[in-house]
Amino acid sequence: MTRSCTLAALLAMGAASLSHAQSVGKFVPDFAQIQYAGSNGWLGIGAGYELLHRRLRTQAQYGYVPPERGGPLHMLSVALFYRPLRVNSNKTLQINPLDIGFKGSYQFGRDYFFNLPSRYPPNYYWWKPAFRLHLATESSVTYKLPKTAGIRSVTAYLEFNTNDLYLISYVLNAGSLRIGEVVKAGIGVRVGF
Amino acid sequence: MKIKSITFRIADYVTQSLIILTQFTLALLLTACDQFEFSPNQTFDQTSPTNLNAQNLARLRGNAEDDTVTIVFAGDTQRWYDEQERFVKKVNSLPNIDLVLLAGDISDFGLLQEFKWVQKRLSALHVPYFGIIGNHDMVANGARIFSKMFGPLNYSFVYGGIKFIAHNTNGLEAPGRNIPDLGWLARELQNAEGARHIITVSHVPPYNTVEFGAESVEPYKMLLENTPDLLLSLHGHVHQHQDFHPFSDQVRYMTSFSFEQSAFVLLQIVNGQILKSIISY
Repeated sequence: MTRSCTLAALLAMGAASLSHAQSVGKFVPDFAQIQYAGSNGWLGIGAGYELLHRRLRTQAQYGYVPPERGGPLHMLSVALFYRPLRVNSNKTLQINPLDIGFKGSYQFGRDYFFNLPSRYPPNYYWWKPAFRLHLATESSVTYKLPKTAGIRSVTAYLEFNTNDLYLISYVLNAGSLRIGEVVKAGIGVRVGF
Repeated sequence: MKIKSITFRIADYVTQSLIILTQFTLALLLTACDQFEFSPNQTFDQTSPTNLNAQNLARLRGNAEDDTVTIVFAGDTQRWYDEQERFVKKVNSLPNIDLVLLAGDISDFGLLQEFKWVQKRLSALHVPYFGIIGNHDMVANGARIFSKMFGPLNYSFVYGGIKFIAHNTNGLEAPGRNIPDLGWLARELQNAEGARHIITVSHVPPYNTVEFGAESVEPYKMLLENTPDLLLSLHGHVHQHQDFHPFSDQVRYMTSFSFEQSAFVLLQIVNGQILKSIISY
């Protein structure tokens, strides 16, 4: 019940900000995206802005894992990506070989504390199960559409990420844990407005 | 002119299709490699094992039982993966081992991937191993992950005339949720199976009062004290090997090394007599 309320509130907030944004032109996001996996939901929906001639990309994403995929889990992430390089193969096609970024993700739910509950002795668990910091890369192909198309571009992307806790495990066990065990993937489609 | 631009268009589409195809292939490859993660907190994924304790019990049942039960007693694998590989090699090099008891804290952060990393390494053991839930395994979604992967949090089985009673004693993790389940434990200790001896295994020892749950200490201690056939009360959690009578009763409490210490306790039990050795790896 609490969870579905949270979900409804999130969706309502998203819808409200979108409709509000459309009335105030400059707040309209530069893109919206839908993503499969990537440690932020079985399916995630997000939106964001591009800054500094599209070299920087900020985005927020809501993700959901249904019970039959290992949930139910609700999460929210905020990310910042930097594009060091782009390749324009022609006027309509652009390739971003490797964008790099950070992502902070928040896991909703009573089982995931952000502050250590008071029943524990101080510093009993040093990490925050509700919050993960991810290191991520993204490779993408963008099709730029003609002005008449109504949308600016369509991007297909492949994302890799690891998080603080996986990375600690890896660094302290580099002889045993393989990089493939700590790096996770996601794919998505982004529509530019 | 028109034809030229159409040719370009077609070339574009071909390039585009090729790229999509490459990405699609890559994606398929990744799926096969189990790379797509929905959340570090997900309860299971396509390749995570289930019911390991029941499977290992079935394997144990396949053994020809003799008069000696040989147990590798270990705990707290959490985040020591290099050590787990050396542990497996060492255990596999020893003859006549019947089973491995892993007394909790299989994971460090209660994350699915950790459970999988540990299981992947321990699955190379030639003998069955039994997972017991630790306090770290109850952080975040850990308890659900544990029960999906290993089975019930409280369970028992009889092997070689010994009844093993594995149970959850991580009281501090879930106040008000009946941990340890004293009613269940009392019934199990009545030994309806008529086993000659009993060994209890859990993670937090009752003399770690706060983590065990202060109000449960006395009744738990009394339950064990009033079980004459109890050989040992085994625990993890403290990351050092202890072997003593903390409550000055006849109950012998023993704790395991953690994997960080690269050592385990080997218990050979013949007719209720315990021969203990410390094995480094």
